[in-house]
Amino acid sequence: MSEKGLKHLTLPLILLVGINVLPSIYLRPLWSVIFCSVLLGYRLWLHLIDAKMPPRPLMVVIQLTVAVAIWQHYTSFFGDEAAGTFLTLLTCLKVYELRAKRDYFITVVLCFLVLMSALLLDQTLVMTLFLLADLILLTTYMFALEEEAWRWKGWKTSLRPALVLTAKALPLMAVIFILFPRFSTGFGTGPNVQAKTGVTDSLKPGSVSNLIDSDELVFRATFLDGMMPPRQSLYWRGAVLDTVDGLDWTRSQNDTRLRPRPIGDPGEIEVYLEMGFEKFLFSLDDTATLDFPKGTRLTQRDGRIFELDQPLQSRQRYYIHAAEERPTEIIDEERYLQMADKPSEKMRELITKLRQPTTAGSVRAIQQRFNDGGFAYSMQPPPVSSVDEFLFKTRTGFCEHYAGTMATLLRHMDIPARVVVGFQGGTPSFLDNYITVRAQDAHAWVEYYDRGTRRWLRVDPTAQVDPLRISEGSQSYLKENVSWIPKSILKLFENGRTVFDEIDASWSGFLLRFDLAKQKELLEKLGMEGVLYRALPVFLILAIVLILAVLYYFEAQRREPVSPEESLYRLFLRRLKGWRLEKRANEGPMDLLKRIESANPEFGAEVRPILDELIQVRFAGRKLEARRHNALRSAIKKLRYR
Amino acid sequence: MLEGVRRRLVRENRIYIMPSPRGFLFLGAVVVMILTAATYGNNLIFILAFILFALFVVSMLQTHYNLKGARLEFAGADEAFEGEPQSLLFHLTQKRSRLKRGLEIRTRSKTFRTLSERREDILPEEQVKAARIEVLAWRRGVHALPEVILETYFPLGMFRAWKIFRPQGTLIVYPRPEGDVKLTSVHSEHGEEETGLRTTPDGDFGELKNYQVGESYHQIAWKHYARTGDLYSKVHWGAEHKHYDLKWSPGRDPEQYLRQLSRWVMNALEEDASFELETPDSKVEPGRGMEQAKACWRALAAVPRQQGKSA
Repeated sequence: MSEKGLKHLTLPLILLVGINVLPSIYLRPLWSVIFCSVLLGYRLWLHLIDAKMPPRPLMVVIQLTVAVAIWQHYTSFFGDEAAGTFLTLLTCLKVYELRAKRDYFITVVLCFLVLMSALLLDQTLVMTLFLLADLILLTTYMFALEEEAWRWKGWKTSLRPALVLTAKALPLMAVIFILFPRFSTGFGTGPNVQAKTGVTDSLKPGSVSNLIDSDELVFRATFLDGMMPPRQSLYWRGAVLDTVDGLDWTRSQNDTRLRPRPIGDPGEIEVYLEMGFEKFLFSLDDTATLDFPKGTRLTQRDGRIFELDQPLQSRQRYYIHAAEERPTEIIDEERYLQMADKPSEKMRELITKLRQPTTAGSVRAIQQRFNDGGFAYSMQPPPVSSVDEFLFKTRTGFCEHYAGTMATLLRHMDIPARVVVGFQGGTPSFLDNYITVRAQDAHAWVEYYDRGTRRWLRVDPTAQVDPLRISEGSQSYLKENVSWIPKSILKLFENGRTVFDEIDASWSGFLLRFDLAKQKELLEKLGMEGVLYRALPVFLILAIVLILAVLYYFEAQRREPVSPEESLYRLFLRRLKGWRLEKRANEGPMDLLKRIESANPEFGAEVRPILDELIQVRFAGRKLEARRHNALRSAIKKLRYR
Repeated sequence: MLEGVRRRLVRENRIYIMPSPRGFLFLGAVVVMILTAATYGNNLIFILAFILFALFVVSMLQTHYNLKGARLEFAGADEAFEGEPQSLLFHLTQKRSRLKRGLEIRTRSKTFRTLSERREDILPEEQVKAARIEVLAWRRGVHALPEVILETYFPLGMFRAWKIFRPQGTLIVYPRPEGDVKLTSVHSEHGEEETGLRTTPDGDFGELKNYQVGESYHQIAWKHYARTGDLYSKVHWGAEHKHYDLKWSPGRDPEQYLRQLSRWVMNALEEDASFELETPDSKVEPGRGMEQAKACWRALAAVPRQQGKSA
């Protein structure tokens, strides 16, 4: 068909490309998103004013510009991000070249590839839902393209064929998914994913409170034995900081490093760590060791910190093994006592006042001081430049202020102390035994060395200042800030989010877990081992053929509804056939009636009113009421040919 | 040779199905996705790739089913000059009451080009449906009906399913009227005698007959109508009664001569003259009017093509 005939298919196509560019907004560099929007917007405008496409040389220049921009940004055209961004831009350029039906189809296929490139970077439940919706829309468009007709009105009927087709395709997809042999292509997995902000190996005032604003998911932890400890006791350890300069804490580099090996035995807690976010595998106070997939490059450092060599490129699963109790350690005390500055006069006074004969007593005294000394907890504390200023002047701070200050005081009291950065608590699921930890759960606390038991002990000064922070998480603060929203709605929202998280967790867990090993395990359960497993492709093909045969059988069984008058007419014809009176091909009901009347006038007189009414309904648009329908039906059944 | 093998292998009313170029493109994208998914160990991309593949395969069933039970019966054809569109009429029938959509009919022939790309839908209540296509013939002649293909790309355009029908019959394509050689008319004494009409000295007209609807209004005897109010048409003869005798005397190019004859037949028809025609194999007796012209053109179409000269 001519180009003109396809013109009404252009607008929906531009919109579809727009929909497929949507995930780029948070997946791709800003400039590419702006470029795409401009390209699509201008194309839309050209379509609406029915103008000519830009000249070919201009398009070539734009294409080259895009290629140069990609090279500038990524210094590569390959790799998941560069190729994905390139593809997205090229798809937006493709809508300027819609000449034949083929071009429209190619654009649809490009949309599928753009979708795929987005899936490379994001595999959450939201993305899966987007995938499904996009799939239905693109399939609907393919139907319309084949028919060369697009209907804005009656979109429900337009969507139906795509929905039916997708529904038929789903079981087939599931079977292929299970049986398709997982193979390796032997290529690497591309360049690193850029690290997002997360728990780092330094602590400054503000570095934790910055995280609190984000509700980005960091990890989920499932308690496999079904025993979830109270969330107040869940301190997810990330980095341990031992070097202090005023309020800034960092990590010394001269510590012992070990290369732990996976022990191949799942522990009590299963953790799914999101990609790109962290470089630490978080553990609990009593963690003895971790189990992690083979091939994970990771270093164990002092303070039982597990640090990844590079930020994660995909979601990582690992297990936490708990020990009975924290192990005893002999430490280099010097390292945990060193201070950059001497304490000020005021500070010395305070220390003398607070110091107790026992370590535990001193710790309690400091806690007591935070509790009674007029200290306040705040998300937006006034800026402070020194420990003194915080202790004696502002007295308002966030967890990093309290942790840093307490560790400083302890060190001045000759108690080895360090600051731990990580997450506290999380949102427990009310459906299952797991807890969701988000950026806003970031926290900092203190560990001191108890010389008597030779163990590191945790103390959280923030718990003294604001117990709510620990028992309800920082969300309670956010709630206060948005107090105009009714509490019940907030609760509903939170519960809804938990349910969603639940599904998201199981779904992404499944996506991550189903690898070659899992496939093998599942197939072994189905009895496909050894030779049978090697013959997997044969089974795959057999399964596809079988499903197709079933689908074809049902397709053949399906009867399409005909209008009631038509079914009555057919009933009449079937009866005629019984009396060896067949309707000739190309004989309409009128001709048939005439022939019957001339052959058998008596019978014709019986038939005429029936056929007359049917003709009236079929051709004159008369309504066939249910009562008349039944009457006609019994009249046809009563006919006897004599 | 190949054509003979094909004719034996490809049977009538069987459904053949192959992915269309669009289908292969789609399949290529699926392969790219599977390779990407395997490289990155990304199960969500596997899911996307497999669901697209499943759509591809399930759409194959629908394409196949869309053609099942559909038949094409030849119902007649126009006759036309070469290079002019010619209609072929078919009855599209289906055994079962199904909605069949996007059926296309075209001819598979070197002689005919299918002009219209109409897409036919059959509703569940339609058991027979008239379908018409227009073809354009390159060469005059009495051709055997070309193979007709009933095909569909429904629903997604990724598969092409087709059936071949070999209707029996002929399609007549007249030589294109061409050439400007003048032909002088002859007065056929024989004709005059037969009509046996009296003529007036001025040779005005010979006779009146009742006017028949459809006759040219040039022939209406307007004077008579003004007088009596009755419509009569004049039967001309004498000075205005021309007769052409189209003899077979081709020069070097018989095809060229055939076109010239075709032109003369057309001229004679327009002049309402009587004419007769002689071809190597047949002779058309004198006569006039459309039927006579058609008989002549058919005779011209049927003249065997001389091999190697102007084929």
